[in-house]
Amino acid sequence: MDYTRLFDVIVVGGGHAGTEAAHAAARMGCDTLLVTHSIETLGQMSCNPAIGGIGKSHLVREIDACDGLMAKVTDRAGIQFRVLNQRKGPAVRATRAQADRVLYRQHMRYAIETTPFSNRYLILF
Amino acid sequence: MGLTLRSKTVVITAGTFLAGQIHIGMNQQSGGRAGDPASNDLAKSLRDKPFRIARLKTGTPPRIDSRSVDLASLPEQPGDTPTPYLSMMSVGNEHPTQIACYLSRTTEKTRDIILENLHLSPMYAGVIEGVGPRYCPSIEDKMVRFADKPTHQVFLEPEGLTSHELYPNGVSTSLPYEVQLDIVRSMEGCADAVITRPGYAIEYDFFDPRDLNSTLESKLISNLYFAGQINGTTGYEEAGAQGLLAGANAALRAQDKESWTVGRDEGYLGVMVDDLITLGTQEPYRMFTSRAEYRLALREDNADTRFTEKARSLGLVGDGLWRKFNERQESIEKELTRLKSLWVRPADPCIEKLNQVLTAPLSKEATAHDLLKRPEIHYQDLVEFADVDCNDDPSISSQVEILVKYSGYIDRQTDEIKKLKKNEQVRLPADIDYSTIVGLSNEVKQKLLDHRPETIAQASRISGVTPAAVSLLLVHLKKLELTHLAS
Repeated sequence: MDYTRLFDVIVVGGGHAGTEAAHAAARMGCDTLLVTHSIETLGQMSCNPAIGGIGKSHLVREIDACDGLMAKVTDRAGIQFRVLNQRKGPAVRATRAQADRVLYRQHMRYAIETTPFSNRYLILF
Repeated sequence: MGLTLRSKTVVITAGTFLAGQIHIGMNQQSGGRAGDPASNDLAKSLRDKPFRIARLKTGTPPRIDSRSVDLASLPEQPGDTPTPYLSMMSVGNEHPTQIACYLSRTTEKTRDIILENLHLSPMYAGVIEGVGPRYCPSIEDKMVRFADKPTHQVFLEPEGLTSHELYPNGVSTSLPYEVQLDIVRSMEGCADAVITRPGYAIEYDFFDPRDLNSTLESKLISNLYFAGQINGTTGYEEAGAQGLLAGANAALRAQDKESWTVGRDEGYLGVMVDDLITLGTQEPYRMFTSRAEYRLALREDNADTRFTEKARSLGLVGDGLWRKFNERQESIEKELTRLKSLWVRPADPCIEKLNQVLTAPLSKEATAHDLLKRPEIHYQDLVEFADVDCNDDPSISSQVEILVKYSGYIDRQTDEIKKLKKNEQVRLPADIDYSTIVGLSNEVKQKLLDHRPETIAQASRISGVTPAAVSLLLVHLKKLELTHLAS
C-alpha cells in the first residue's frame, strides 16, 4: 500500500461506525483507508453481544437496505434470534439477536478484508 | 509512528476511546475499553479546535462463568422458531447453532448490598462527571430510582458458542470488585457464581452533535465527518447507521457529487440524525420507535422500499441486492393486483366457512383485497376459507397483508401529523402543573418541569417528549380552556 498517496476517504476507528463507513465508501468506488489501533478488534462488541431490539433493529434493516454489513454479519454470528412485540402492530415489531462475540468479529473482519477496491487498514499506535 | 496520511475527506469514529477513563470503585485508569488504550493524542488535538466537547458515561456488567451458575434452576429462554433473518441477502443457512438464554432475578439482598455500598460507586461519590444512559441504567441507578421494587429481571446471555462466559443483562455496575461479587452471588441461581471479568463504567469525550449538519459533516471543519458514540449516541446499531451515512457522504464529497440526507419521514436514521443535530443530547442517545412521528410508515419490513432505490443511485448497492429488491417489489405489486381481481360472493360454496371468521356475514360481493382490509381477516384466512391460492413466499404475503390492512391507518396518521403541525403554535401557560397531567410518563413530566417550554412546538422538540405526550398536552390545554370558560 502506498501510504503517501492522496486517499479519497480515511476512516479513523474500526468499530461499528468505522466499519460501516469504510465499507460504504469502498462500495462507492472510493480509495479508502481504515485506520485503527488494532486489527484484532475490528467490529468488537465492547458491551452486550446483542444486535437489534425495539427501534434498533429498524436501523439494522436500513443499513441492510443500503447493502451495509451489520445485518449480514449478525445473521452469520447470531446464536439466538427473537421477534419482539409480535402481538403488537408491525410498526413496532422488532428483531433482536444474541451474537457470538468471536464469530461477529471474525465475520466483520472478513467483510472488511474482502472489500473490493483499495480498502486497506493500517494500525496506528 | 509519525506517518503523515493525506485524504480528501476524513470520518472520525472514535467510540469511547477519546480520553476514555475507566472506573471500578474508586480506582480509575485511562482506557478506551477494558484491555485497550484510550486515544489521548487524538482527543488532545481535537480539543485544540473550537468544538463543544463534553463527557458522557456508559457501563458494562461483570461477566460470569456459566459453569458456576445453577442454570437448571432458572427458566430457559429459547429463541424463536423458525429463526428470523436480518439481511435481505441471507438465504436461510447462515445461522450457526442456536442456544438458549436464562432468566435470573435480583433479590432483596442484592438491593441491600448495593444501597449499603453506594458511597463506593464512582457515580454516586461524584467522581464521574459524565451523564449515563437513561435506558440502560447501572444496577446502582435502578436500586435508587426504583427503591420499592423488590426484584429486577436479569437475563443471562451466553457470550458465544466457544465461551463459558455469560453476560448478565441489567447489572451494569462500577462498584468495587468485591461488591460486584456479592451482588452477583445474591442473584437467583448464582450463589456460587464466579466473575470472569469485572464490570466497569467508562467516561469519554463526545462532540456536541449540534456542530454537525445533516450529512454528519462538521460545521467547523469541512470534509471532516463524525459518526457513532463520538456524537453522543449509545449502541452498535446507532453507530453503524451513522457510519453508513457519514461514509457515503465522505465518498460523495470526494467524488464531487451531491450529498445524501435522510428525512424524518424516510427512516429512523433520519430521525436520529435530525434529533442529534437540532437538539443535541444531554445523555447517551438511544433509538426508540417512540422518537419517530411517522412510525406506521417506518417499519422494519419496508426498509428496502424506503432506502434501496436511493442507495443504488449513490452506488452503495451491489447487483445482488438490487436484483433481489426489484424481484420483491414486482412480486408485491403482482400480488396486490391479483387480490384486487379475486372476487368472493355471498353465494360462493366457501361462504359458510368464511362467515364464521367475519364479524358480520358477507352481504355483497367483495374482492380478496377488500376482505383483507378487515381487522379480523388475515392472509392465511383467505387461503383457508375463501379459496384464494396461496402466494409461495411468506415474506411477500405478509408484506401485502400489512400494506392492505394498514393503508387506512397510514393515511390517518398523515392527517394527524398535519393537524399537529398546526397546533405547534399553541402556547403553554407558565404556571401549568405537569405533575397532574394523567398519562404523562415520569420522564416526560421531569423534562417538561426542567425545560419549562413556552409553546407546544418547543415541548415537542425536547428529547424524550413523544408525539403521544404532545397529544396529551393538547388535550390538557383544551380541558384548561373549558374550565376557564365555565368559571
